[in-house]
Amino acid sequence: MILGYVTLTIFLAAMVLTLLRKINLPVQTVLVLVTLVCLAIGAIVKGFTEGAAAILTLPNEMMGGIILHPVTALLAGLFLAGALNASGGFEAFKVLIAKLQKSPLGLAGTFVVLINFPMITSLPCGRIMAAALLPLLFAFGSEGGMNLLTKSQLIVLIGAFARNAFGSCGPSPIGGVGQIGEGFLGSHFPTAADGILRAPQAFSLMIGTALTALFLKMISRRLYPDSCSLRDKREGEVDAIVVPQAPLAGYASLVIFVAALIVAIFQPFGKVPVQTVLVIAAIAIILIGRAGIEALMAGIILLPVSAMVAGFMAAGALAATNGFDALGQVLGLLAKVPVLGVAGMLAIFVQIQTMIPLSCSRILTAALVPVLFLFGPAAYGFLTWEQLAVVMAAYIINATTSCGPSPLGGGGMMGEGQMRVESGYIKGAYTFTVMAAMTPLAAVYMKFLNLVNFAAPGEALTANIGALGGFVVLIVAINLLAIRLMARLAAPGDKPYFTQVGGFLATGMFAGMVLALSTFGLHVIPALQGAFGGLLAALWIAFMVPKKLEPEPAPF
Amino acid sequence: MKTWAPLIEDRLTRGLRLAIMVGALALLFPRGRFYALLALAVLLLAHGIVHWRRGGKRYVGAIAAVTVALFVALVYANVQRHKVESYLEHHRPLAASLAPDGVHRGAGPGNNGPLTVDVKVTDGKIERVDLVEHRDAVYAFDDVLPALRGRATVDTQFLAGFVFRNERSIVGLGAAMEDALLKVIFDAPHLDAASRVVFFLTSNEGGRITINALAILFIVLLAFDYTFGPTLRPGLGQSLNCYNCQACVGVCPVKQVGGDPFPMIMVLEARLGNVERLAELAKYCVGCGRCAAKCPVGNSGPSIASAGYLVWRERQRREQRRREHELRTLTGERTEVDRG
Repeated sequence: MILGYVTLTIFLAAMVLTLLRKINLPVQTVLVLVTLVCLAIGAIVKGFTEGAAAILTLPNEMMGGIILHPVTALLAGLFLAGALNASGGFEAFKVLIAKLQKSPLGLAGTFVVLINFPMITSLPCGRIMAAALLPLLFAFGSEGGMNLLTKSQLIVLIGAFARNAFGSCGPSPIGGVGQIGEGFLGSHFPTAADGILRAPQAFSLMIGTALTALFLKMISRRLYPDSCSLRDKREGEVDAIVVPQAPLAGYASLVIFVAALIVAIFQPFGKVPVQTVLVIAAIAIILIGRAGIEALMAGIILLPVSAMVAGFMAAGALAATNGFDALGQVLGLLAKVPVLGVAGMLAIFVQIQTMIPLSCSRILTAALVPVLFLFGPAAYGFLTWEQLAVVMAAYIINATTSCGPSPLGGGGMMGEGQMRVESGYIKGAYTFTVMAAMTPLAAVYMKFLNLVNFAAPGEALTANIGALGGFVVLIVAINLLAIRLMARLAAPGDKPYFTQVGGFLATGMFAGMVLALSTFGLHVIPALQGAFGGLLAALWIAFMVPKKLEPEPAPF
Repeated sequence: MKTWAPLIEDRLTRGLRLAIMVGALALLFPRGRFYALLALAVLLLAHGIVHWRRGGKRYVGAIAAVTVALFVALVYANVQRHKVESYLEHHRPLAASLAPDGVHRGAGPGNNGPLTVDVKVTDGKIERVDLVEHRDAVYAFDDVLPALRGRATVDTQFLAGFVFRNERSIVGLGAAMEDALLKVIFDAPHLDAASRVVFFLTSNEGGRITINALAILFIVLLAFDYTFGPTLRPGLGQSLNCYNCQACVGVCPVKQVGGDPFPMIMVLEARLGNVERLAELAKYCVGCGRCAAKCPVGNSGPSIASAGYLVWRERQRREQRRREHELRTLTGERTEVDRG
């Protein structure tokens, strides 16, 4: 077991040091090195204690950690996006957006649809939609030429869109991060793979997006007033009239894309792996759009793919060297601390990826979902299957959104680039809304609505919907209140920053409590323990938000 | 320093790399062999058409010859098979007495792969049938093998009584026994080596599972090539580290070129191996290096731009040398390159 503690320490230390930029290497490289080091240490220890035969099993155990399905599904999704891009599908989408603007929805309604569009399409990586549509959003501002939005409106629009995009990989049925959790829950809920985690994630992401917009508008802009280099419309400046155009092949490819999503999600032709559907659709699109095979490759975004494989490898190495057993023991010990208990430990655990935000959530998800699974009836028995599903929903939404605020090249940096703001601008908004709103919302949604569909069809649905509505109103109200209070004091400097920390702590406590209530029911002790766990998590998260942002280097 | 990189880059183009990988796949993946070969043929045909459209006639003749040869081979093999099937139709159930006494080996398709049998014929009857090699379930032939002893014919109707075991295994057994006897019946037609090679290459299990597996292999091959490509070009390997985060775009004084985020688009083009586009984009880089300071993995726009430009320039030089060489061959004159 000492071996497990050693490899676990190496893994966690490497991740934290990378996050703090003490190790200045791409996170995948770090993970591969950690894997090799863990295997080497494992080989030495096992060689002495169990003999040479034990060493030979280590590489196989490491490779056994790699789950191929989400990797290939993700790649297939990226191919499809590449084909769509090459054949003018995104241009066609822009035309549709322009038409929507002139409909009764108007500009505001169109923006709301646009902001939530990544979640509506739910592609396996938010970067696909972000890369395609962020330039379109930028065009709505003064520098983009359309002059429809002011500088601050553009920040809110881009920030909210990016928030939505960098959580949309969670509910994606085509290689989404949530599928890792659904796979594990499938060992009890027979239909879990049909999307047991999808609705809780989508629901909380939708509300979280709105709260993020509010946080950016009311707090971030005041905390970092000098960070943004965007400019507003100048006097006498003439607006550019942009009339988007798209080739016919673009519309056709858009239709194929939608059809492929429908086939992949609803499986009208029986069980067909998502990869097959996506590859066939991608080939059909490149044939229609007369694009080359290179169009498929152009869609590849290497980070999530390599991150996932590297994460699986590291997880495999940890499993081979008893690292997960050690982690389970540590968390088990935490659960025995009276003020924390199981509820408090879980309140920290579900926030762990927001506490250590890496460039792709899949890295830690691949490693930690098996640990969470062990808390259930399969090993430690801390949770029943239903409770495990509730905690899994909370954990997964927290995990999938963690690439947004990551300073290690996380998806949110794409938004920051378009906003022309310094890195770290969106961190407060993104971490706050995930911690305080989205995580507890996913838990209550799973508890009161989704489990009724997946586990207990006989339960009183009306009463559950009432309870869910009550919790949602309460969570949103607390968040609105906290944002309002923080906004009143928000300004550059130390004092407002500590006020913000206070807001984080209060809402973090509340989030931990809601998680405990969703998991363990109306019991005072677990609720208090959950609140304390939430407080500890919030403390770390709040202090990771930058006090001030470094100004850009002076122009050359 | 002379390296192999330019040679590999010039000769081992993406199309050729994919063709090699698909070819290897065709040989290694029996169930997908036909589809892989089909893909290979389409790939070659597309390559030929593109090459022809660009005015090149270098490979078009060769590709056309290969296509015609493949077609002729397919027709020939199918004619051979038709002869064998016609013979069997007229002689079923195939009498063991037609074959000389002795042990005869034949092969047929099993449920999980090919199966091979030895049929021992004595006095015009089947004395025993032994399975030499098969991948089917161990119980698939338990009852049927003893029941075949002493029979005078290979009777598919009789074998059909055992299909409750596994239809494909039993049908395969019958085919293997017929194959064993056909080989030694002096007037029976049989598939020659060329036809066997053709059927080896075109045999497939065209089920849904095969197509799904091929889709996944297709994804893996493309992804492999995508990551392999940049490493062939000096200085462009760093593009593999790009997170697509656009942090570089935020600090770049240029920010956009033709609607694409700059300098990130340079890195993406470097990954794809579009050196011409990269050289074009490199002209927009002002070399301030702010992107390198901001990039979470330390990728440098100016470094990618200069590496891309050098690769492009080297490629242009090689192309020029090649053209001059062709010109020299045509005219017999010494060119600037020859004169040094």
